[in-house]
Amino acid sequence: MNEPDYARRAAELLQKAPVPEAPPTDSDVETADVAAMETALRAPRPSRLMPALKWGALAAAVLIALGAALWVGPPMRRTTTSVIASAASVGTVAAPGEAPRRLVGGMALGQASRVMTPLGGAAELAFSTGTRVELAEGSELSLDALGERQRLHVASGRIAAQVAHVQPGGAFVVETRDAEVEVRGTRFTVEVVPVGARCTAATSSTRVAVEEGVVAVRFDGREVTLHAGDRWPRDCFAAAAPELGPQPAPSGSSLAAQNDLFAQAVTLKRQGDSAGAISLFEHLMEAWPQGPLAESAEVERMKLVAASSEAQGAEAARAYLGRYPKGFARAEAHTFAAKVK
Amino acid sequence: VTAHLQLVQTVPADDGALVRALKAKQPGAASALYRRARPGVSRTILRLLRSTEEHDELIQLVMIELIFGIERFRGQCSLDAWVSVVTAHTVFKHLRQRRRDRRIFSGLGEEGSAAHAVPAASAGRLAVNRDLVRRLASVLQKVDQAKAEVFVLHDVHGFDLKEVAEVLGLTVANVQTRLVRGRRALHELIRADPELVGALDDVGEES
Repeated sequence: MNEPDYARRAAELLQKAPVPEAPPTDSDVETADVAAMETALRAPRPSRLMPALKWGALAAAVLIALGAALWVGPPMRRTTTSVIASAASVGTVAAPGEAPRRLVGGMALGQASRVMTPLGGAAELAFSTGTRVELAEGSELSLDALGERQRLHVASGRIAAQVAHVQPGGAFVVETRDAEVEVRGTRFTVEVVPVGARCTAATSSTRVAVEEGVVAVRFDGREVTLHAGDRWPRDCFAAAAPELGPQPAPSGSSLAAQNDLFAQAVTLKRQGDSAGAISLFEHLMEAWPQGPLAESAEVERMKLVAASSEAQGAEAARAYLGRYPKGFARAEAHTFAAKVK
Repeated sequence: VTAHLQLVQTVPADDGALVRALKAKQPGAASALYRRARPGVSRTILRLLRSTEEHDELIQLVMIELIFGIERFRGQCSLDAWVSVVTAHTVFKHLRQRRRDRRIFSGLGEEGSAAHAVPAASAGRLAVNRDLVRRLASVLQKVDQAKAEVFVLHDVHGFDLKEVAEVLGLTVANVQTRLVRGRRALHELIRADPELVGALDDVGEES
Protein backbone atom coordinates (compact mmCIF):
# COMPACT_ATOMS: atom_id res chain seq x y z
CA MET A 1 0.00 0.00 0.00
CA ASN A 2 1.32 3.46 -0.86
CA GLU A 3 2.14 5.72 2.05
CA PRO A 4 -0.15 8.76 2.32
CA ASP A 5 1.33 12.11 1.34
CA TYR A 6 1.32 13.76 4.75
CA ALA A 7 2.57 17.10 3.45
CA ARG A 8 -0.46 17.29 1.14
CA ARG A 9 -2.81 16.33 3.98
CA ALA A 10 -1.18 18.95 6.19
CA ALA A 11 -1.65 21.58 3.48
CA GLU A 12 -5.33 20.68 3.11
CA LEU A 13 -5.87 20.98 6.82
CA LEU A 14 -3.94 24.23 7.12
CA GLN A 15 -6.07 25.68 4.33
CA LYS A 16 -9.02 25.23 6.67
CA ALA A 17 -7.28 26.94 9.57
CA PRO A 18 -9.34 29.82 10.90
CA VAL A 19 -8.77 33.25 9.47
CA PRO A 20 -9.46 35.94 12.08
CA GLU A 21 -11.94 38.64 11.29
CA ALA A 22 -10.49 41.93 10.19
CA PRO A 23 -10.22 44.48 12.99
CA PRO A 24 -12.82 47.24 12.77
CA THR A 25 -11.73 50.04 10.48
CA ASP A 26 -10.79 53.30 12.10
CA SER A 27 -11.51 56.40 10.05
CA ASP A 28 -8.48 58.19 11.53
CA VAL A 29 -6.23 55.32 10.50
CA GLU A 30 -7.76 55.29 7.03
CA THR A 31 -7.22 59.00 6.67
CA ALA A 32 -3.60 58.63 7.75
CA ASP A 33 -3.10 55.73 5.33
CA VAL A 34 -4.50 57.66 2.39
CA ALA A 35 -2.40 60.69 3.36
CA ALA A 36 0.70 58.48 3.40
CA MET A 37 -0.22 57.10 -0.03
CA GLU A 38 -0.75 60.55 -1.46
CA THR A 39 2.62 61.62 -0.09
CA ALA A 40 4.21 58.56 -1.68
CA LEU A 41 2.41 59.23 -4.95
CA ARG A 42 3.72 62.78 -5.09
CA ALA A 43 7.24 61.82 -4.00
CA PRO A 44 9.77 61.80 -6.86
CA ARG A 45 10.56 58.30 -8.01
CA PRO A 46 13.68 56.83 -9.55
CA SER A 47 13.68 57.54 -13.25
CA ARG A 48 13.96 54.50 -15.47
CA LEU A 49 16.18 54.14 -18.47
CA MET A 50 14.26 55.47 -21.39
CA PRO A 51 14.21 54.15 -24.93
CA ALA A 52 17.09 55.49 -26.98
CA LEU A 53 15.08 57.99 -28.97
CA LYS A 54 13.39 59.53 -25.98
CA TRP A 55 16.70 59.52 -24.15
CA GLY A 56 18.41 61.29 -27.01
CA ALA A 57 15.66 63.88 -27.24
CA LEU A 58 15.86 64.51 -23.52
CA ALA A 59 19.63 64.78 -23.66
CA ALA A 60 19.37 67.29 -26.49
CA ALA A 61 16.85 69.35 -24.55
CA VAL A 62 19.06 69.36 -21.51
CA LEU A 63 22.08 70.31 -23.58
CA ILE A 64 20.24 73.24 -25.07
CA ALA A 65 19.18 74.35 -21.66
CA LEU A 66 22.46 73.96 -19.90
CA GLY A 67 24.96 74.47 -22.65
CA ALA A 68 28.38 73.00 -22.89
CA ALA A 69 28.82 72.95 -19.12
CA LEU A 70 27.01 69.64 -19.09
CA TRP A 71 29.87 67.95 -20.86
CA VAL A 72 31.97 68.20 -17.76
CA GLY A 73 29.06 67.79 -15.37
CA PRO A 74 27.72 64.70 -13.66
CA PRO A 75 26.48 61.64 -15.59
CA MET A 76 23.19 62.30 -17.35
CA ARG A 77 21.21 59.43 -15.84
CA ARG A 78 20.09 60.97 -12.59
CA THR A 79 17.99 59.33 -9.96
CA THR A 80 16.21 60.73 -6.97
CA THR A 81 15.53 58.47 -4.04
CA SER A 82 12.47 59.19 -1.95
CA VAL A 83 12.44 58.51 1.77
CA ILE A 84 9.34 57.98 3.87
CA ALA A 85 9.02 57.65 7.63
CA SER A 86 7.24 54.54 8.87
CA ALA A 87 4.07 54.69 10.92
CA ALA A 88 5.74 53.73 14.19
CA SER A 89 8.35 56.50 14.10
CA VAL A 90 8.71 58.77 17.13
CA GLY A 91 10.91 61.79 16.65
CA THR A 92 11.28 65.08 14.84
CA VAL A 93 12.48 66.15 11.44
CA ALA A 94 13.93 69.47 10.36
CA ALA A 95 14.23 70.62 6.78
CA PRO A 96 17.05 73.08 6.03
CA GLY A 97 16.24 76.45 7.54
CA GLU A 98 13.03 75.23 9.11
CA ALA A 99 12.04 74.46 12.69
CA PRO A 100 11.77 70.79 13.71
CA ARG A 101 8.41 69.15 13.10
CA ARG A 102 7.01 65.95 14.50
CA LEU A 103 7.84 62.89 12.43
CA VAL A 104 4.63 61.20 11.28
CA GLY A 105 4.05 58.01 9.36
CA GLY A 106 4.07 58.50 5.60
CA MET A 107 5.94 61.79 5.79
CA ALA A 108 8.27 62.23 2.81
CA LEU A 109 11.73 63.43 3.82
CA GLY A 110 13.71 65.50 1.37
CA GLN A 111 17.40 65.82 0.82
CA ALA A 112 19.21 67.55 3.70
CA SER A 113 16.47 66.67 6.16
CA ARG A 114 17.69 66.06 9.69
CA VAL A 115 15.90 63.35 11.66
CA MET A 116 16.17 63.20 15.43
CA THR A 117 14.80 60.60 17.82
CA PRO A 118 14.35 61.34 21.51
CA LEU A 119 15.56 59.01 24.20
CA GLY A 120 12.92 56.34 24.43
CA GLY A 121 11.88 56.87 20.81
CA ALA A 122 12.90 55.30 17.50
CA ALA A 123 12.26 55.83 13.82
CA GLU A 124 12.33 53.82 10.65
CA LEU A 125 12.91 55.29 7.20
CA ALA A 126 11.93 53.47 4.02
CA PHE A 127 13.83 54.40 0.87
CA SER A 128 12.24 53.93 -2.54
CA THR A 129 15.26 51.76 -3.41
CA GLY A 130 14.11 49.21 -0.83
CA THR A 131 16.72 50.26 1.70
CA ARG A 132 15.52 50.62 5.27
CA VAL A 133 17.22 52.56 8.02
CA GLU A 134 16.29 52.36 11.68
CA LEU A 135 17.30 55.09 14.08
CA ALA A 136 17.70 54.01 17.68
CA GLU A 137 16.74 56.28 20.53
CA GLY A 138 18.69 59.49 20.95
CA SER A 139 20.01 59.51 17.40
CA GLU A 140 20.48 62.25 14.84
CA LEU A 141 20.75 61.52 11.14
CA SER A 142 21.00 63.84 8.13
CA LEU A 143 20.01 62.79 4.63
CA ASP A 144 22.88 64.60 2.93
CA ALA A 145 22.41 63.18 -0.57
CA LEU A 146 19.54 61.21 -2.07
CA GLY A 147 20.63 60.79 -5.64
CA GLU A 148 22.09 57.65 -7.11
CA ARG A 149 24.78 58.10 -4.49
CA GLN A 150 23.00 58.21 -1.16
CA ARG A 151 24.93 59.76 1.66
CA LEU A 152 23.77 59.84 5.28
CA HIS A 153 25.48 61.53 8.19
CA VAL A 154 25.13 60.15 11.70
CA ALA A 155 25.80 62.96 14.15
CA SER A 156 24.97 60.93 17.23
CA GLY A 157 23.35 57.70 18.31
CA ARG A 158 22.98 54.53 16.29
CA ILE A 159 21.43 53.50 13.02
CA ALA A 160 20.81 50.03 11.64
CA ALA A 161 20.67 49.88 7.86
CA GLN A 162 19.41 47.18 5.57
CA VAL A 163 20.66 48.32 2.20
CA ALA A 164 19.09 47.15 -1.02
CA HIS A 165 21.42 46.22 -3.85
CA VAL A 166 23.10 49.37 -5.13
CA GLN A 167 23.03 49.82 -8.89
CA PRO A 168 26.30 50.26 -10.82
CA GLY A 169 27.41 53.85 -10.48
CA GLY A 170 25.48 54.26 -7.25
CA ALA A 171 26.59 54.09 -3.67
CA PHE A 172 25.25 54.06 -0.16
CA VAL A 173 27.55 55.88 2.23
CA VAL A 174 27.17 56.58 5.92
CA GLU A 175 29.41 59.24 7.40
CA THR A 176 30.20 60.06 10.97
CA ARG A 177 32.39 62.86 12.21
CA ASP A 178 35.52 60.76 11.77
CA ALA A 179 34.71 57.80 9.55
CA GLU A 180 32.94 56.80 6.38
CA VAL A 181 31.19 53.51 5.69
CA GLU A 182 30.35 52.47 2.14
CA VAL A 183 28.25 49.46 1.22
CA ARG A 184 26.78 47.71 -1.79
CA GLY A 185 23.79 45.87 -0.40
CA THR A 186 24.06 44.56 3.10
CA ARG A 187 22.90 44.90 6.68
CA PHE A 188 24.95 46.70 9.25
CA THR A 189 24.89 49.17 12.12
CA VAL A 190 26.81 52.37 12.64
CA GLU A 191 27.05 53.93 16.06
CA VAL A 192 28.65 57.13 17.24
CA VAL A 193 29.70 56.69 20.85
CA PRO A 194 30.24 59.55 23.29
CA VAL A 195 33.78 60.81 23.74
CA GLY A 196 34.06 59.24 27.19
CA ALA A 197 33.02 55.85 25.84
CA ARG A 198 35.90 55.51 23.40
CA CYS A 199 38.00 52.45 23.95
CA THR A 200 41.66 53.05 24.56
CA ALA A 201 42.85 51.21 21.47
CA ALA A 202 41.04 53.35 18.91
CA THR A 203 40.73 57.04 18.38
CA SER A 204 37.49 56.82 16.40
CA SER A 205 34.16 57.41 18.03
CA THR A 206 32.47 55.28 15.37
CA ARG A 207 31.46 51.67 15.79
CA VAL A 208 30.43 49.46 12.87
CA ALA A 209 28.92 45.98 12.97
CA VAL A 210 28.18 44.01 9.79
CA GLU A 211 25.45 41.39 9.78
CA GLU A 212 25.39 40.56 6.07
CA GLY A 213 27.47 41.38 3.02
CA VAL A 214 30.58 43.50 2.82
CA VAL A 215 31.24 47.11 3.82
CA ALA A 216 34.28 49.34 3.50
CA VAL A 217 35.17 51.59 6.42
CA ARG A 218 37.43 54.54 5.74
CA PHE A 219 39.11 56.19 8.68
CA ASP A 220 42.21 58.28 9.06
CA GLY A 221 43.24 57.74 5.44
CA ARG A 222 42.98 53.96 5.62
CA GLU A 223 40.30 51.60 4.33
CA VAL A 224 39.26 48.41 6.06
CA THR A 225 36.96 45.82 4.51
CA LEU A 226 34.49 44.18 6.88
CA HIS A 227 32.57 40.99 6.21
CA ALA A 228 29.49 39.50 7.86
CA GLY A 229 30.08 39.13 11.58
CA ASP A 230 32.94 41.64 11.63
CA ARG A 231 33.01 44.65 13.92
CA TRP A 232 35.13 47.75 13.76
CA PRO A 233 37.36 48.91 15.35
CA ARG A 234 38.35 45.34 16.16
CA ASP A 235 40.32 46.34 19.24
CA CYS A 236 37.24 47.79 20.87
CA PHE A 237 35.36 44.52 20.61
CA ALA A 238 38.11 42.13 21.57
CA ALA A 239 37.22 41.91 25.26
CA ALA A 240 33.48 42.33 25.37
CA ALA A 241 31.45 43.12 22.31
CA PRO A 242 28.76 45.63 23.13
CA GLU A 243 25.33 44.90 21.76
CA LEU A 244 24.82 47.04 18.69
CA GLY A 245 21.52 45.58 17.61
CA PRO A 246 18.12 47.02 18.38
CA GLN A 247 17.74 47.61 22.08
CA PRO A 248 14.59 47.81 24.15
CA ALA A 249 13.33 51.17 25.25
CA PRO A 250 14.85 52.23 28.52
CA SER A 251 12.73 51.69 31.57
CA GLY A 252 12.51 53.11 35.00
CA SER A 253 15.63 54.94 35.86
CA SER A 254 16.79 57.20 33.06
CA LEU A 255 15.98 60.69 34.28
CA ALA A 256 18.03 62.23 31.48
CA ALA A 257 15.91 60.37 28.94
CA GLN A 258 12.72 61.62 30.53
CA ASN A 259 14.01 65.18 30.66
CA ASP A 260 14.97 65.00 27.02
CA LEU A 261 11.60 63.69 25.91
CA PHE A 262 9.72 66.21 28.05
CA ALA A 263 11.81 69.05 26.65
CA GLN A 264 11.11 67.95 23.08
CA ALA A 265 7.40 67.78 23.80
CA VAL A 266 7.42 71.27 25.29
CA THR A 267 9.32 72.56 22.25
CA LEU A 268 6.66 71.14 19.93
CA LYS A 269 3.95 72.65 22.10
CA ARG A 270 5.57 76.07 21.85
CA GLN A 271 5.79 75.66 18.09
CA GLY A 272 2.05 75.05 18.00
CA ASP A 273 2.32 71.37 17.11
CA SER A 274 -0.22 70.14 19.65
CA ALA A 275 -0.59 66.72 18.10
CA GLY A 276 3.16 66.19 18.14
CA ALA A 277 3.47 67.38 21.71
CA ILE A 278 0.59 65.17 22.86
CA SER A 279 2.21 62.19 21.16
CA LEU A 280 5.51 62.74 22.96
CA PHE A 281 3.85 63.38 26.31
CA GLU A 282 1.91 60.14 25.89
CA HIS A 283 5.09 58.34 24.96
CA LEU A 284 6.75 59.59 28.13
CA MET A 285 3.72 58.54 30.21
CA GLU A 286 3.78 55.06 28.72
CA ALA A 287 7.54 54.57 28.93
CA TRP A 288 7.94 55.87 32.49
CA PRO A 289 4.54 55.67 34.21
CA GLN A 290 6.19 55.89 37.63
CA GLY A 291 8.76 58.48 36.61
CA PRO A 292 9.04 61.91 38.21
CA LEU A 293 7.82 63.63 35.04
CA ALA A 294 4.84 61.36 34.39
CA GLU A 295 2.38 63.58 36.27
CA SER A 296 3.66 66.74 34.59
CA ALA A 297 3.40 65.05 31.20
CA GLU A 298 -0.17 64.02 31.93
CA VAL A 299 -1.07 67.55 33.02
CA GLU A 300 0.44 69.04 29.87
CA ARG A 301 -1.36 66.48 27.76
CA MET A 302 -4.64 67.23 29.57
CA LYS A 303 -4.30 70.95 28.86
CA LEU A 304 -3.51 70.40 25.20
CA VAL A 305 -6.40 67.98 24.74
CA ALA A 306 -8.80 70.30 26.56
CA ALA A 307 -7.80 73.17 24.30
CA SER A 308 -9.08 71.30 21.26
CA SER A 309 -12.06 69.40 22.67
CA GLU A 310 -14.01 69.96 25.89
CA ALA A 311 -15.26 66.37 25.89
CA GLN A 312 -11.82 64.87 25.44
CA GLY A 313 -10.41 67.38 27.90
CA ALA A 314 -12.94 66.26 30.50
CA GLU A 315 -12.04 62.65 29.84
CA ALA A 316 -8.32 63.40 30.18
CA ALA A 317 -9.01 65.34 33.38
CA ARG A 318 -10.95 62.44 34.91
CA ALA A 319 -8.14 60.08 34.01
CA TYR A 320 -5.65 62.44 35.66
CA LEU A 321 -7.78 62.74 38.82
CA GLY A 322 -8.12 58.97 38.92
CA ARG A 323 -4.36 58.58 38.95
CA TYR A 324 -3.50 61.66 40.97
CA PRO A 325 -6.49 62.52 43.21
CA LYS A 326 -4.28 64.92 45.16
CA GLY A 327 -2.21 66.00 42.19
CA PHE A 328 -0.86 69.52 41.83
CA ALA A 329 -3.20 70.25 38.93
CA ARG A 330 -6.34 68.82 40.55
CA ALA A 331 -8.15 72.20 40.65
CA GLU A 332 -7.60 72.70 36.92
CA ALA A 333 -8.60 69.09 36.26
CA HIS A 334 -11.86 69.54 38.21
CA THR A 335 -12.61 72.60 36.06
CA PHE A 336 -12.06 70.65 32.83
CA ALA A 337 -14.05 67.69 34.13
CA ALA A 338 -16.97 69.89 35.18
CA LYS A 339 -17.39 71.27 31.66
CA VAL A 340 -18.81 68.00 30.39
CA LYS A 341 -20.93 65.93 32.73
CA VAL B 1 -22.66 66.88 0.22
CA THR B 2 -21.09 68.53 -2.79
CA ALA B 3 -17.65 67.39 -1.78
CA HIS B 4 -18.90 63.86 -1.35
CA LEU B 5 -20.51 63.84 -4.79
CA GLN B 6 -17.34 65.16 -6.37
CA LEU B 7 -15.31 62.48 -4.64
CA VAL B 8 -17.57 59.76 -5.97
CA GLN B 9 -17.37 61.13 -9.47
CA THR B 10 -13.58 61.06 -9.48
CA VAL B 11 -13.41 57.33 -8.75
CA PRO B 12 -12.09 55.64 -11.89
CA ALA B 13 -14.65 53.40 -13.55
CA ASP B 14 -12.44 50.33 -13.88
CA ASP B 15 -9.06 48.98 -12.84
CA GLY B 16 -7.39 50.17 -16.03
CA ALA B 17 -8.61 53.70 -15.45
CA LEU B 18 -7.50 53.51 -11.83
CA VAL B 19 -4.00 52.41 -12.81
CA ARG B 20 -3.78 55.19 -15.40
CA ALA B 21 -4.97 57.72 -12.81
CA LEU B 22 -2.31 56.54 -10.38
CA LYS B 23 0.44 56.71 -12.97
CA ALA B 24 -0.70 60.23 -13.84
CA LYS B 25 -0.73 61.06 -10.11
CA GLN B 26 -4.28 62.36 -10.39
CA PRO B 27 -5.90 63.80 -7.27
CA GLY B 28 -8.03 61.20 -5.54
CA ALA B 29 -6.27 58.27 -7.20
CA ALA B 30 -4.54 57.19 -3.98
CA SER B 31 -7.82 57.29 -2.12
CA ALA B 32 -9.52 55.29 -4.88
CA LEU B 33 -6.78 52.65 -4.78
CA TYR B 34 -7.11 52.46 -1.03
CA ARG B 35 -10.84 51.78 -1.23
CA ARG B 36 -10.40 49.38 -4.13
CA ALA B 37 -7.52 47.36 -2.68
CA ARG B 38 -7.94 47.51 1.09
CA PRO B 39 -10.37 44.59 1.50
CA GLY B 40 -8.14 42.30 -0.55
CA VAL B 41 -4.99 43.46 1.20
CA SER B 42 -6.60 42.92 4.59
CA ARG B 43 -7.80 39.43 3.63
CA THR B 44 -4.36 38.43 2.35
CA ILE B 45 -2.61 39.71 5.49
CA LEU B 46 -5.00 37.84 7.76
CA ARG B 47 -4.83 34.71 5.62
CA LEU B 48 -1.02 34.71 5.71
CA LEU B 49 -0.56 35.54 9.38
CA ARG B 50 -3.79 34.13 10.87
CA SER B 51 -3.43 36.93 13.34
CA THR B 52 -4.62 40.52 13.62
CA GLU B 53 -1.33 41.61 15.15
CA GLU B 54 0.29 44.37 13.07
CA HIS B 55 -2.66 44.24 10.64
CA ASP B 56 -3.07 48.02 10.42
CA GLU B 57 0.65 48.71 10.18
CA LEU B 58 0.98 46.17 7.38
CA ILE B 59 -1.96 47.68 5.51
CA GLN B 60 -0.12 51.00 5.39
CA LEU B 61 3.15 49.41 4.32
CA VAL B 62 1.40 47.50 1.54
CA MET B 63 -0.45 50.58 0.34
CA ILE B 64 2.79 52.51 0.03
CA GLU B 65 4.41 49.56 -1.77
CA LEU B 66 1.47 49.55 -4.19
CA ILE B 67 2.01 53.24 -4.90
CA PHE B 68 5.74 52.75 -5.42
CA GLY B 69 5.18 49.70 -7.58
CA ILE B 70 2.35 50.96 -9.76
CA GLU B 71 4.78 52.08 -12.49
CA ARG B 72 5.85 48.45 -12.86
CA PHE B 73 2.30 47.16 -13.19
CA ARG B 74 1.70 46.55 -16.88
CA GLY B 75 -1.61 44.70 -16.69
CA GLN B 76 0.11 41.35 -17.12
CA CYS B 77 -2.33 39.97 -14.53
CA SER B 78 -5.45 41.24 -12.80
CA LEU B 79 -5.12 44.09 -10.33
CA ASP B 80 -6.33 41.75 -7.58
CA ALA B 81 -3.62 39.20 -8.34
CA TRP B 82 -0.95 41.88 -8.40
CA VAL B 83 -2.18 43.36 -5.12
CA SER B 84 -2.13 39.90 -3.58
CA VAL B 85 1.48 39.28 -4.65
CA VAL B 86 2.63 42.70 -3.45
CA THR B 87 0.86 42.12 -0.13
CA ALA B 88 2.49 38.73 0.39
CA HIS B 89 5.87 40.17 -0.57
CA THR B 90 5.46 43.00 1.93
CA VAL B 91 4.29 40.70 4.72
CA PHE B 92 7.22 38.33 4.29
CA LYS B 93 9.71 41.17 4.02
CA HIS B 94 8.25 42.74 7.13
CA LEU B 95 8.49 39.50 9.10
CA ARG B 96 12.12 39.09 8.17
CA GLN B 97 12.96 42.66 9.06
CA ARG B 98 11.36 42.32 12.45
CA ARG B 99 14.08 39.82 13.36
CA ARG B 100 11.99 38.23 16.00
CA ASP B 101 10.49 34.86 16.25
CA ARG B 102 7.46 35.75 14.21
CA ARG B 103 6.73 32.93 11.86
CA ILE B 104 4.08 32.24 9.34
CA PHE B 105 0.99 30.79 10.98
CA SER B 106 2.18 32.04 14.37
CA GLY B 107 -1.32 33.37 15.01
CA LEU B 108 -2.68 29.85 15.26
CA GLY B 109 -1.40 29.60 18.79
CA GLU B 110 -3.53 32.52 19.94
CA GLU B 111 -6.44 31.74 22.18
CA GLY B 112 -9.75 32.04 20.43
CA SER B 113 -8.26 32.44 16.98
CA ALA B 114 -9.64 29.05 15.97
CA ALA B 115 -13.20 29.91 16.89
CA HIS B 116 -14.40 29.76 13.30
CA ALA B 117 -12.57 26.62 12.23
CA VAL B 118 -14.38 24.16 9.99
CA PRO B 119 -17.83 25.72 10.24
CA ALA B 120 -19.80 22.56 9.52
CA ALA B 121 -18.01 20.41 12.05
CA SER B 122 -19.38 19.38 15.39
CA ALA B 123 -17.92 20.90 18.55
CA GLY B 124 -15.84 17.80 19.26
CA ARG B 125 -14.57 17.59 15.70
CA LEU B 126 -13.84 21.31 15.80
CA ALA B 127 -11.67 20.92 18.88
CA VAL B 128 -9.77 18.02 17.32
CA ASN B 129 -9.13 19.93 14.11
CA ARG B 130 -8.09 23.03 16.01
CA ASP B 131 -5.58 21.05 18.00
CA LEU B 132 -4.34 19.32 14.87
CA VAL B 133 -3.85 22.60 13.04
CA ARG B 134 -1.85 23.95 15.97
CA ARG B 135 0.31 20.86 16.05
CA LEU B 136 0.90 21.08 12.32
CA ALA B 137 1.84 24.71 12.63
CA SER B 138 4.26 23.72 15.35
CA VAL B 139 5.80 20.99 13.15
CA LEU B 140 6.04 23.47 10.31
CA GLN B 141 8.20 25.71 12.49
CA LYS B 142 10.79 22.92 12.53
CA VAL B 143 11.10 22.93 8.75
CA ASP B 144 13.78 25.21 7.38
CA GLN B 145 12.00 28.56 7.14
CA ALA B 146 13.01 29.20 3.53
CA LYS B 147 11.39 25.93 2.45
CA ALA B 148 8.41 26.32 4.79
CA GLU B 149 7.63 29.74 3.29
CA VAL B 150 7.47 28.27 -0.18
CA PHE B 151 5.33 25.35 0.99
CA VAL B 152 2.88 27.65 2.77
CA LEU B 153 2.58 30.12 -0.10
CA HIS B 154 2.15 27.45 -2.77
CA ASP B 155 0.40 24.51 -1.14
CA VAL B 156 -1.61 26.29 1.53
CA HIS B 157 -2.37 29.69 0.02
CA GLY B 158 -2.50 28.68 -3.61
CA PHE B 159 0.02 31.10 -5.11
CA ASP B 160 1.46 29.65 -8.31
CA LEU B 161 5.21 29.09 -8.70
CA LYS B 162 5.77 32.34 -10.57
CA GLU B 163 3.89 34.32 -7.95
CA VAL B 164 5.82 32.67 -5.12
CA ALA B 165 9.02 33.57 -6.95
CA GLU B 166 7.91 37.21 -7.12
CA VAL B 167 6.86 37.26 -3.48
CA LEU B 168 10.14 35.86 -2.22
CA GLY B 169 12.46 37.34 -4.83
CA LEU B 170 13.59 33.91 -6.09
CA THR B 171 13.76 32.19 -9.45
CA VAL B 172 10.98 29.79 -10.35
CA ALA B 173 13.52 26.95 -10.41
CA ASN B 174 14.62 27.83 -6.91
CA VAL B 175 11.02 27.91 -5.73
CA GLN B 176 10.45 24.49 -7.28
CA THR B 177 13.46 23.05 -5.47
CA ARG B 178 12.47 24.52 -2.14
CA LEU B 179 8.92 23.31 -2.56
CA VAL B 180 9.98 19.72 -3.18
CA ARG B 181 12.40 19.76 -0.28
CA GLY B 182 9.95 21.52 2.01
CA ARG B 183 7.23 18.99 1.29
CA ARG B 184 9.66 16.15 1.88
CA ALA B 185 10.93 17.64 5.15
CA LEU B 186 7.39 18.17 6.41
CA HIS B 187 6.36 14.68 5.40
CA GLU B 188 9.31 13.17 7.29
CA LEU B 189 8.65 15.23 10.40
CA ILE B 190 5.02 14.19 10.45
CA ARG B 191 5.91 10.55 9.80
CA ALA B 192 8.20 10.63 12.82
CA ASP B 193 5.23 11.58 15.04
CA PRO B 194 2.93 8.54 15.30
CA GLU B 195 0.21 10.49 17.09
CA LEU B 196 0.13 13.10 14.35
CA VAL B 197 0.13 10.42 11.68
CA GLY B 198 -2.86 8.77 13.37
CA ALA B 199 -4.75 12.04 13.56
CA LEU B 200 -4.03 12.87 9.92
CA ASP B 201 -5.04 9.37 8.88
CA ASP B 202 -8.34 9.83 10.71
CA VAL B 203 -8.95 13.14 8.98
CA GLY B 204 -8.01 11.57 5.64
CA GLU B 205 -10.51 8.76 6.13
CA GLU B 206 -13.28 11.15 7.17
CA SER B 207 -12.75 13.32 4.14
